[in-house]
Amino acid sequence: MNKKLFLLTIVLMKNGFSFPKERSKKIKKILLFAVLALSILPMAYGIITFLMSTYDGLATVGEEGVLLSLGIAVSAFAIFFFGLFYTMNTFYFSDDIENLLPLPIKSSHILGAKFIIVTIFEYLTACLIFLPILIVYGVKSGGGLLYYFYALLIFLTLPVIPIVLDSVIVMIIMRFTNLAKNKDAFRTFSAVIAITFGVGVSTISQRVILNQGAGLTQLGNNSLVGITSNIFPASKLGALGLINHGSLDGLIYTGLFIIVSLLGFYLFLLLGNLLYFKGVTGVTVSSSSKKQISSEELGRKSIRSSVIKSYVLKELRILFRTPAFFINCILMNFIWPVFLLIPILTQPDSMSGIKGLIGVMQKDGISGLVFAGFFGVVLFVSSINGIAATSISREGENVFVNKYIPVSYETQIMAKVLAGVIMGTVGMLTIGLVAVFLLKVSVSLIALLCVTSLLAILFSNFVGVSIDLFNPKLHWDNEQKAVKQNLNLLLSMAICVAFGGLTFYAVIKLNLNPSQVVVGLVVLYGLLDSLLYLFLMKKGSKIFGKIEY
Amino acid sequence: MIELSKVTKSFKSTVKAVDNIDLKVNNGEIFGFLGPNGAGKTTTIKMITGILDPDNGSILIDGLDIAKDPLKAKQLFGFVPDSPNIFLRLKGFEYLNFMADIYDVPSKERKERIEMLGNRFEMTKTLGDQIQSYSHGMRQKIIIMGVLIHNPSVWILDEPMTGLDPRAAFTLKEMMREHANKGNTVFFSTHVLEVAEKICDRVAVINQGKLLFCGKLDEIRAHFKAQGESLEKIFLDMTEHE
Repeated sequence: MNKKLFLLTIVLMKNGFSFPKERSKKIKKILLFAVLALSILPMAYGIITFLMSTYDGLATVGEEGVLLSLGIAVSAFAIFFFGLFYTMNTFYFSDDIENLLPLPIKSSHILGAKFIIVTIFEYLTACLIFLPILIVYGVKSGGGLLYYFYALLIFLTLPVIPIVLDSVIVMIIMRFTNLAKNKDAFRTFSAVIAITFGVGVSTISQRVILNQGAGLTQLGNNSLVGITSNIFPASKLGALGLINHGSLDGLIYTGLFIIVSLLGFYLFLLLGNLLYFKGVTGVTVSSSSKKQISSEELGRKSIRSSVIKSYVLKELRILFRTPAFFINCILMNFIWPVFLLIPILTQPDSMSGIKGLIGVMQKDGISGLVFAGFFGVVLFVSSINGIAATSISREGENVFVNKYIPVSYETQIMAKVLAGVIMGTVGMLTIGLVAVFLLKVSVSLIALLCVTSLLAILFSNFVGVSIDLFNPKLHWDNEQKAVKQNLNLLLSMAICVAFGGLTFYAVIKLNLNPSQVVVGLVVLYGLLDSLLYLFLMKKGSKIFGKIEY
Repeated sequence: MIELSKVTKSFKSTVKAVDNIDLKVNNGEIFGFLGPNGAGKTTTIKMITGILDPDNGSILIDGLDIAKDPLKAKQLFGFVPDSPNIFLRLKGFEYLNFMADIYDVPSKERKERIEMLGNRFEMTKTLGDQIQSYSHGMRQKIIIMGVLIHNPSVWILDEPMTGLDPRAAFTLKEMMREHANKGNTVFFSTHVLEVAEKICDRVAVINQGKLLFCGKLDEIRAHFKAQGESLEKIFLDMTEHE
């Protein structure tokens, strides 16, 4: 690799990953990662068992190659999907471009370095999806050294084409639209598009796979490989290379796969030189309206309100207007009901089944479980938005402002809790509406469920703020890091899921009737919430006062 | 009035960022806090405003101890931090209203003050935009406006002139003078000596956490027997590493 390109990549990488320098913090971080890795293990085990049995099933009809081709196609799609965000952030919103442009660096080097960084990020995605498939296929088919060599080559080249597609799409949008001028709007807009796109594709593919499943058994000799790979044409070459690794064909296919990827990369450089630099300049400039506010308007807008109301409004405004916060903390509240809807809308038959189930649930015997279940879901949904669990982290280097304003730490903590409670309630009501209108659950039942579940929302937000107070992630240079790469969010989610699960389990075990469940939930969580509240007011406010950037 | 007595702050237990400082800023004066980069200016200001807790010593704002009675003491001053990149996603008037709410400014008074400050800093046309669309100097101006909206008796400003255009800098200096003349306190840090020379009643010079000098500008000249020398020359001599 060219020396300058190499150096630039290293520097940009270092900027992207911030690893703590202090030893104690390092150890803390490593421990947290270890805990998370351990919690993933059971899932990994499940996936590998699933892949193994899929291989066996496919092998009986001589179609085991489908595992590879489908694997490559799915991985390529996942890389493409995540790549949309990565390329957008790395190429346009990393704020380093204005510092790089005046330096004597070839434009192709800047493009190349950024491309390599996205590729490295994507190896993580590929590790999660593609690696297990490669290994399972290798072990099961008894692939030799050559198989693993080809597998490594294909693994390393796999992200190239999806990223080329991503960057070309992003560069074209940025070059020919005015969206780059308002980067907040662009980020939010494109994320919503990408998520809709993702949800749409998963819905459609669910249908297609279900419909095609029937015809699968009629074929043989890996002829399905060609069909499944149509989604990502080049992936067919990779799959064929691996399947035929024993013969010359394998070498040719693998070679072709690499050549196609390299050609894609050159196409990217070519288009990048034409599109990128013209689109990227001025990206950090935000537009302004220069519209004067009239005196009457100002009078209407400057009405005095209470400190807590004003503070909560400030929190919500920032959450709604910062794209990274909006996507992770606000949009999340609405996505869950949509996910719940997908299976219902895609498979009309399941609708009647669910309705039947609901009918059964509303009978006395089981509806205690409905309460516990709804309570658990609300606990989970209100914790994944992370509004509370990142509430201190989001302040970042500006946390000093919280310390000089004449607002008590108690009030500030409660305002942060309230912002989370409001959005959690909105999320809960969305689920409630879905239940009432699509599943025809009675309004009075949902109303009762929602009122009880308010305690769950309070609980998850108290837990979130408590965790974030102890170890806020204040050192970030990019808002995304405050909410996405924040382990406090995962930790508070884990706690809420555990409590939700335990509650549900206890209700099953104790075989309580509905009124007992409601009373039990209200008493238990009422007590837990009061304890957490006291903790936050007494201890939390002291911890807040000690936080330093 | 701001009073610091025996204030010490160290980071990582070895280096003393601020070392046993005594300082008194009187009512009715503009007080300049001078020193080279990394001298301890910002650390001192952070302790005065309650952002950092001192290891030792006490700090009084108009007689109220910031450590013992933080909320009441914080009500008394307005603070302009050295970085104006705060509340970027709020619109100008939203930020001003937020500040007015937390400092408890009545509706009528805040409207008058927003209009007055908007006119003086030529910001009326941009109040409807998000602060992140502002230039550095405009951000500095909106922060200053937000601080002045509750009309605090004590002004604490960390490098307030940085990034201001000449007219805004002039307006700010003018306002500082008016404020001090009304018997209030203005405390600001700077390393622009011309600014200090022009508007300060008294200055203090800090270097490596220690207070080297505190007094009137003529006293500084007398003290260092440097009559006729520029403040720049004196300052450079004073803060030279021993």
